[in-house]
Amino acid sequence: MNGFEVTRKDEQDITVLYLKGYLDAHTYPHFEGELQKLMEEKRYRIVVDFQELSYISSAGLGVFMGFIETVRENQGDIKLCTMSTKVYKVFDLLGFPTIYQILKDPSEARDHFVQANKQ
Amino acid sequence: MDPKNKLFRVALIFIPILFVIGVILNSFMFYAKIRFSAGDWGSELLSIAIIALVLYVAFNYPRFESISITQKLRLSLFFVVTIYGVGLLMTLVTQPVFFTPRYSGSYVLRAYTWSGVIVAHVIGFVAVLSLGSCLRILQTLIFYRRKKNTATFFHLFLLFGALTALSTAITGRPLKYDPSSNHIITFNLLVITTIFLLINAGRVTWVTVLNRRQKFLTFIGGLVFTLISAGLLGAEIGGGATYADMVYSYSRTAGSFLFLMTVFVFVYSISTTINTLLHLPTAAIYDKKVREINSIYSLSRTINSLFDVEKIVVSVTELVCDATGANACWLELANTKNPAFRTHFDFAAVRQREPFQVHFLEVSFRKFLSKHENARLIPSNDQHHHYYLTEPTDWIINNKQPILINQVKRDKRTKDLKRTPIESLIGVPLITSDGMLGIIFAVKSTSFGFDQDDIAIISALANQTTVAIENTRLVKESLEKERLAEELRIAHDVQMKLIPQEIPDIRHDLSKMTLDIGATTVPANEVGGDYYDFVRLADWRCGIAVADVSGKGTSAAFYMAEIKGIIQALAGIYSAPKDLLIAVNDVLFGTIDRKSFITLLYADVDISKSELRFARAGHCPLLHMRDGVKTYIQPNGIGLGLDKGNLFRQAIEEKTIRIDDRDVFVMYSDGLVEARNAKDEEYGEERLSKCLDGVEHLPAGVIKDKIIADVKRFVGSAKTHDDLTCVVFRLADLQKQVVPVAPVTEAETGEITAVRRV
Repeated sequence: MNGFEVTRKDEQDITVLYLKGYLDAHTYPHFEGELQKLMEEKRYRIVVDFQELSYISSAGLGVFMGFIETVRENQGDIKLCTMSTKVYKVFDLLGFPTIYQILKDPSEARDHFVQANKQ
Repeated sequence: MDPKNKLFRVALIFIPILFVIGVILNSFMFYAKIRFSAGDWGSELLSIAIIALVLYVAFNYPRFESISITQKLRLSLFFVVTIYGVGLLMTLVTQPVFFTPRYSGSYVLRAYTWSGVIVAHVIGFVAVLSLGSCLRILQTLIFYRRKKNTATFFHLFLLFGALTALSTAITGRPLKYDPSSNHIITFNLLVITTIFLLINAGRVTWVTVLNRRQKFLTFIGGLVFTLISAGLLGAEIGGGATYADMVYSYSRTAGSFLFLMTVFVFVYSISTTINTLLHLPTAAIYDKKVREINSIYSLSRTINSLFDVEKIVVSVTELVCDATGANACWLELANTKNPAFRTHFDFAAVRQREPFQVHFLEVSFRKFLSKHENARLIPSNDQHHHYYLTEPTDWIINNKQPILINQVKRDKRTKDLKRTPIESLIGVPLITSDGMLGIIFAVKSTSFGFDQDDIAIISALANQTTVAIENTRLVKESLEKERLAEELRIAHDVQMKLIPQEIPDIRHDLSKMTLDIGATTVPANEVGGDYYDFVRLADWRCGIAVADVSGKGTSAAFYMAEIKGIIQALAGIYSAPKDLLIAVNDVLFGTIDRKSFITLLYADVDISKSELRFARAGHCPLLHMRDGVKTYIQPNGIGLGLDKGNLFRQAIEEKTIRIDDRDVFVMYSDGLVEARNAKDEEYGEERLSKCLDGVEHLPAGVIKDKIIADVKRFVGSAKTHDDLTCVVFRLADLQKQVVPVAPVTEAETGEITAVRRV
């Protein structure tokens, strides 16, 4: 079984989740639980870093959809960053770039949140 | 008794008749003062006949066989006491006088009065009846644990006894253990008889099965028995004559029978008495072992016939109480969802015996008791119980061993039980291979109420219970699995019906063109999330859809059925693929789970206009091939069910292509390009493109087969983990149209292939 890991880093009101390994039908509940925890802690400014993610399946993509509504209702957002071409292709195929901001790296995502704050 | 047996009835009637004849004959001989050997012998023969008939009746009377051991013992004691009592009563009332006639050689007493004759007769008759029955009863006891020689030795005893009695009848001398008064043959016979008598008297194995109380009573009864039979043998009861002497005066055979039988009864009762005495000290332990074996036996019998956890626990608590004499017993089952926590033990069953009342048990089990008939497992959130038994339970959980506390009030672990009537406590865990199933508790209101044997027996019961509960759970699980497999099979069948079985016949007569389609889907599991469909919009116009529901299994299958319904319903209404997909998304968004989505590629082919319009909702691109050039066309668009509507509407893009018979189009699901081989490589678009080299002139069905075969070759022995769908279509000349020769059937490959019916 291919492994999957989530590392969490809180920076003020922004949380960065670093994904690693395979996000598929077997591992997505782990990621889902992590996001669920953030919802319970009322942390709605979330950046997901895909740098070390090697594979994402449709079940993995579904996880994002499960939370985006709640997050945006609470003036937060899920921003995606540091995607490999291969992972980006999957997101692109599904039309995710229309729904989510896909950025270069976590700091850029942070900047976006800060700007949103100012407005 | 068997009423059909005539001989038995005749014997029963003849016994009193013969007795009366004997009395009359002897009275006559007494009053006539005559002495003739024919009369003497007649009397002798009569008594032999009576003995024979009595023995016949006794040995054929089934009741002596069927009654319990204690009943047998009581009955035989009653018989012996009867002889003694009757004899004593008769001599007291009638004061018989006996004398030794000169002619008899001072061996045999003779009645001096008529009352003597009667007394001798009655005692003789009663003795024959009673001792005959006794003999039969003793025989059943001797045969209790019958071995090879048991019957032989008993019959030899009877045979030699009879021979001895006959020899005394012939010699005219009463039987005694005195060589000087007996004939030499008689004495030799008596010695042999005695040997067999002793052998038979040793057979008292039935003593072991008596319980302690019965053994004690048998011991007392045995002493009485011994004394009375000694009295029968030796006591002079009147006129200077013993019982035997009196009976001898009536008949020598009867006298010998009485003598031998009394000796036998005497020896046998001594043997019994000694045996029971020896067994008495161990009787309590023996009883306990018997109880243990019985309860384990009845438990295994009960639980093997039950596949119901609640019934099992109810019978276990009952048996623990029975086997250990506990005042109360209860079983707690670990909550299967939270097996680690003490607070999550469920109360399964309880037995409390009146008048034993434990407050916290009452509180904890109130619900249980009230619903006793249909007992339910009560979740243990009861604070009383938790509080009282925390420490013993923790100890058991940590040590995985039974706990025995014989002085509850003095033990630190049970300090919380101080106000309860509990003085002794046992807790035994139900241990399985992978953890602890629960705990059986038993308590008593006396200190030192339990010992190591009780732990052993509760442990034995616990083991049985564990196995039974696990079996029950396994059976339930396998039934559940079977049911699920069956339902999946049905779901599979239903889903297969949703996939088109036929390729529509789309043609345009004016341009002499037809639409040639080849389509297949290969589900990875019983039910899949891939789907393709055709919508016939006009004779010359067809909608083709390929979709992939995110996730797999049952939910995917449901959504697939839903999307089919939506597309079939809406395709005729919206002429533009883009509008159709927007409408589909609107309908779907309200019903689909937030985490799920569907990707879809929809193409609208119009032969009359030589035009293909298509839109993509997050699905794999459309592969277009013309003159060997392959293009993956990926217009914008997001998956169905991801967005409420606005974003979807903005994002979706429609493309239109002019087509002719040089074009080949391939629609596929991601399962095809993402198929992996054992080296974990992806099939990918490049391999797909390469596979299509030089196929431009082939019919769509053949191209499709080629693609599927190529993917399968690539995947090899690796496990497929996603559904795989491929739809190939092209325009073809009506005249030149080629029908695939042998369509691959589902039965062979698991593929669902639509076939063009011609």
